[in-house]
Amino acid sequence: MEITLSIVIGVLYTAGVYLLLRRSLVKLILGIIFLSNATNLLIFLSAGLTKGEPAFAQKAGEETARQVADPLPQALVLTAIVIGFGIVAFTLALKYKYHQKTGTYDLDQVKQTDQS
Amino acid sequence: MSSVILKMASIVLRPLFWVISIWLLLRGHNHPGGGFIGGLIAGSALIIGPLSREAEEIKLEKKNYPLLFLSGGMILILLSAALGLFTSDLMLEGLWMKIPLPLVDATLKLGTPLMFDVGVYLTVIGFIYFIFNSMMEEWQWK
Amino acid sequence: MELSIGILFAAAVLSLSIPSRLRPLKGWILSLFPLGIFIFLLTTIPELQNNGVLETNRSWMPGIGLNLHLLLDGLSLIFALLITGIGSFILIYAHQYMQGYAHTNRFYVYLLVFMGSMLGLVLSANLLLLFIFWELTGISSFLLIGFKHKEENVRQSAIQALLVTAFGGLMMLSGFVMLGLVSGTYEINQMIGQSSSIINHGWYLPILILILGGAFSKSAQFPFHFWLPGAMQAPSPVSAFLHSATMVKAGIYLMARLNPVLGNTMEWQTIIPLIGGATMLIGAYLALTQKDLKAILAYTTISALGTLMLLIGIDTELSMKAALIYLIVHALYKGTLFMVAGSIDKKTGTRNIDLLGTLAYRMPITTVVALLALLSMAGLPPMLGFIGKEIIYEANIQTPNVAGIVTTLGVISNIFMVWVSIFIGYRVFFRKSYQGYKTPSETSFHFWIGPGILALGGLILGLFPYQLGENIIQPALGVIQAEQLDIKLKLWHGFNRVFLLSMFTLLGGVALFLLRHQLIPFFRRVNKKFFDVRFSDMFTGFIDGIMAFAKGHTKVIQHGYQRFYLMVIFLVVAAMGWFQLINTRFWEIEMPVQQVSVYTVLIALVITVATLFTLLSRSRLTAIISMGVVGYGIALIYLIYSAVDLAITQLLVETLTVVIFVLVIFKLPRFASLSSRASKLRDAGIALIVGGFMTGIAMKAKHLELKEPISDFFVKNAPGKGFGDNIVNVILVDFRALDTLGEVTVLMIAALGVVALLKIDRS
Repeated sequence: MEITLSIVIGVLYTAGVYLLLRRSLVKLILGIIFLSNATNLLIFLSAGLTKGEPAFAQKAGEETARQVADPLPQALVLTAIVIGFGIVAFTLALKYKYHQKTGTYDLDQVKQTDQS
Repeated sequence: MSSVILKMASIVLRPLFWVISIWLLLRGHNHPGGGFIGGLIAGSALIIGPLSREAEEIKLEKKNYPLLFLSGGMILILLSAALGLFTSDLMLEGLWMKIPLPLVDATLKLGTPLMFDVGVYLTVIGFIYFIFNSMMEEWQWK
Repeated sequence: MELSIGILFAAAVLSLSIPSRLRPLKGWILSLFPLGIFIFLLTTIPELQNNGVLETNRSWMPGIGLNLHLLLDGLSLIFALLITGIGSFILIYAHQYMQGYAHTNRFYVYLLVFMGSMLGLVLSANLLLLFIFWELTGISSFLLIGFKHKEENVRQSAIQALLVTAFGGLMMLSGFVMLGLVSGTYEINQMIGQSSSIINHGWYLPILILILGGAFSKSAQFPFHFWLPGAMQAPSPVSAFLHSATMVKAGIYLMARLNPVLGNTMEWQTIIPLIGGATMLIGAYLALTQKDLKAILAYTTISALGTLMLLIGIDTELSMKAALIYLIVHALYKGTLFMVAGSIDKKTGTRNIDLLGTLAYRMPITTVVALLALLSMAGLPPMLGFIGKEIIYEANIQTPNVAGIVTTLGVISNIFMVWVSIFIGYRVFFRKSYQGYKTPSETSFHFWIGPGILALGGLILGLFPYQLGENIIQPALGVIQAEQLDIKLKLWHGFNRVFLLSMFTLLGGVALFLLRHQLIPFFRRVNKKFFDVRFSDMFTGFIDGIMAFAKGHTKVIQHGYQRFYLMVIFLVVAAMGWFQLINTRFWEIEMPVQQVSVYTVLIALVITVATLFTLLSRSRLTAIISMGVVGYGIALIYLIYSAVDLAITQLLVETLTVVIFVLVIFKLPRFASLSSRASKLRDAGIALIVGGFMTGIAMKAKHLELKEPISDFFVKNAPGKGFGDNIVNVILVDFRALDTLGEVTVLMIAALGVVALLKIDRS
């Protein structure tokens, strides 16, 4: 099963990198979203896939030990998703402000930090 | 964007979202849910109203509610972190209090992790509310 | 004992909240804190004589060997007494002196923080703890030197002092770490036991040099001495306290403290006396040609520090004894003189000795105080300074191997000292002409009480040296040198070689003073010709050079095109990654095809198609909506593979992302086709290389040999210790709550950042 997801991850990374290398402001942000999605999926995949056994503790009555899905990457990815959203929002605001201030949408114009 | 459908829907959805979010928050320790998810839903509840209205209709709020959510959440989190310091010298140590419920056969378990989760919930609400609020304000949302 | 350090830090905070009614007494109130500690320290003397030490030990970060281990023994006691004793007078003095300055509140905070850190430094029995306090003194010194920060040269001096001492501090830290590695501990007591194995270790010389780098830079030894005259930009109480009596002695203290560990070797007895002797001579000589009263004092301080270093380096019992006595002598008279210089500055408006004169008739009390201190500086009876100088000569004569050179150097610099003392005394107080800017009058009580007591202390201890030797010097000496020797301090030693040398010194100084009209111009000429190397200018030039170099190569590397930076990063990462992947033959991993589920493949297809839409679409809306589809697809994958919480979160966040994009989208520029076809193809190539590499990584990820994963612990203990069945949630809010705390903080900062960005124009 991993092979399908591995390819999906590859596709997402390819798209993210390609978008990041564009000169357009908006595409840069889309690229960031793709990269963060791809990375979340990679972390999720790296712990192994378990079908139909969510990470819940044993019920008291259950005798046999179940092999549940690894909860740690889930916890990591959960916060990463929310933080990814925070970053997107911040980048959006930053780029919007940048566009408003300079009137350009071409990243090649963004060469200096100081106003000159 | 003025949408009659969204406006009508938001009247129903807002309280519904709130209820769901609190429900998800409280069951989060044993079932799917928790502070992050609850906070996201509650945040949506807060922004769905403004989203469906004209700019002129949005009342400018006197108090800075987003900041209240944000700081309230952070304070709760830090408080829950600090409580462990007093009892066991370990920050963020989980402390639990078990209260047997009189009528049903169950015990109510309250602890600093729950407080922590509520803090996360509030912070996420404040975060979403803050971002959307300031963006809508900036773009004179129509 | 740890309380006494805490008290000083607490006093720093308290000093901000003194009610305004008590403000006129502020200096007095604050001086009670160090005075109390001083008295406490005095009461410990009998106990120290019985037990030898007083110590408290708490672990702080045991993992790296850092303990809050404080130890009061004879050596610490001398320094602690000086710090708190002089500190209390400085506070009283400063109270009057700082009136008329802005931000005096800050001044007291800095001064008290310094006092606390300095006390901590001399009480630390753990090298890492000592280093922390060491750096704290450096920082508070920086703040105090730069107190009048509105003046350009003040800022420059402050930065210079900070850079020099911090640079030395870093050297010292690496020395400490090496020492810690060699001995396996950072506790000084335990190191002493391993002294012989440390000395014979191959790292001994590097360790010694690195630690000496710290001690030399802090104690203004040649060639680091130049920061000290610059530090005279600080207000006079600071000069008196930090830059003569206490902080600059930290290097001396460190070497004395580490003598049982590192001392008694060829290297120790060569390097330290050499540098110390050079500093002693250069300091004394340069003092002659200065015109600023404080600069003269600064250079004599450098000379005195050199003498102390020299004595420590000679490393005999006698020299250690001499060092300890001279340390007290110097602190007493130099603190006094700096405070007197400050008073004179206040009353006349100048510190230029060419303008000063006649002050004996106008400021009689100050004059008496100053003369007592000058007598001590010249090493004349009946002051303690005389005893100090006698013992130094005795130690010099008995130096192993190089007694002749050391003694000559000592005599020459002492002749200069005598000259400087007479010179200052005559010029400032008795000369018949006065050209200052104000008409001087006697200072108020605040100004002379502190220096007066210090100078009297020098006199009393000179008359009754026995108590000092018995109670203070003896225990301290026991710390530095293992053997006990009997110390008798006496004012009169009888006619011997030492006395003859003293007489010679005095006569030499007087003779030079009488010849001053010929000699000073001569020295100034010599200085111009040979000593025109301004170390501080060289230092500034060096810093400027580094800046210019950095600017130069920044221009080349930092060209400013974001996508080319990214391209370089991606290509380098992908190249290294591919190299590793090919090396480990990732294609040989077994991926059973029969496990492939139809749902997953379908979702994967949907994601791929949606991705292509995003990439190729010319419409912003289409791109965003297809991006949303990708996100939902990923949420479904999470759902299939048992991550319920994750799926919900992903769905919600994806929705919010689309909404926020739709909000913004029409405010953002249209997609424009800015790149040529060729560069698109190139970027696609790079993207494919990276993407392919990530696929390889993802395939390998499952097949790593790892130790037992920590997740098992979480799964096992979530219900029992975390009281929750949802293990993901238990991890988030309990097991790894610290991580979540960090992440929530990020969210808060992001939100505040967005608001700040958007509201930047409307205020």
